[in-house]
Amino acid sequence: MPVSSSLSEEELLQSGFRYAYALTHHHHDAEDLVQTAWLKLHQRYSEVKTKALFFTTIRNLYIDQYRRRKRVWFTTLTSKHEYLSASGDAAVEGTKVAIDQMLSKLRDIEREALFLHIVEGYSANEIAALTGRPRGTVLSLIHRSKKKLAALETAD
Amino acid sequence: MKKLEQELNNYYRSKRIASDKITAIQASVHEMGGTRRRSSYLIPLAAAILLTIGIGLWMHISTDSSLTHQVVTEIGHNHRQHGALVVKSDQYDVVQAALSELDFSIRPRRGELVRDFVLVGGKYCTIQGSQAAQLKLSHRKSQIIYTLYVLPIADDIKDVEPGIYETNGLQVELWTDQFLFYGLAHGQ
Repeated sequence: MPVSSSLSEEELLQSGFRYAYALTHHHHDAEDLVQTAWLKLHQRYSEVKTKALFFTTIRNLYIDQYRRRKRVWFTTLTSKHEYLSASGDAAVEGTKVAIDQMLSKLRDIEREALFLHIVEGYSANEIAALTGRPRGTVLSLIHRSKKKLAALETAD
Repeated sequence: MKKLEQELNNYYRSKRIASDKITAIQASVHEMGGTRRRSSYLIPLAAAILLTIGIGLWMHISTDSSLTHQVVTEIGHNHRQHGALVVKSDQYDVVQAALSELDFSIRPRRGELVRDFVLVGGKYCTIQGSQAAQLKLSHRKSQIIYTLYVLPIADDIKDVEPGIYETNGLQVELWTDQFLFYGLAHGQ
């Protein structure tokens, strides 16, 4: 499992933010999660000891605070147009929007498994240890998520 | 599938927390650290102050109640003694004149003590080392003998708590009036 000792404070925060984003799929919620987890760990240990502990804290906070809310997000078309027009590379941004939409159709546990596996490079065993799920469940989540995304990509 | 994985990787790698947010988080940590340092310094100090106040209060109460208890016990003990009176008279002036060493008035200021009791006589005694008048009074109706103690309020007894106390079957009432301290005991 990757360790935080080689990461700077900012890299660790960015990494935590990406994980929080994978869970919430919402920028501000992810920022709030990261901030709360960071402060909580500092309050308890005066530092963020490992990346794994940071991720676990973010995850626990997410389960406590966000998942129970069952919030529904509305994304306006205007904001997407603004997002596209603000970028010079419409094709790249178009892909991002498409990925964004596809990911929004996945469950949070599916996004989490995909993120940890593809982006963070965690093995199924490591993801199982972090999330407390059986390895078989983790493998199944990764497989099904990829399949769902592929199907969504084909449909588009 | 590899392409999709690459796109996912790029997508998440592009997600970044704003630098001003990072600054805000780091500032919050510093602020929290300051608060914790202040708290860690203040909590033991507050505890020490409270402990000192508590001990002081306990000692004050303990000393006061102990002194009152000593005075009540002493008055009760003296009441049970049946030593000879220096002078026997139902006149306060006569007894006052006989107890010439006393530089205060032995006549009680409480009206009922004069109205309901008859003076029998008096002698010298001490309460907590201070010279006092010990007067025997007879209740007019019941004929029960009471003992009245009168002495100036000195440092030795200034912290005695006025009130009505029971000691070994005796009832002892303590009170002050202007510059004098009074104790009245009765019972067997």
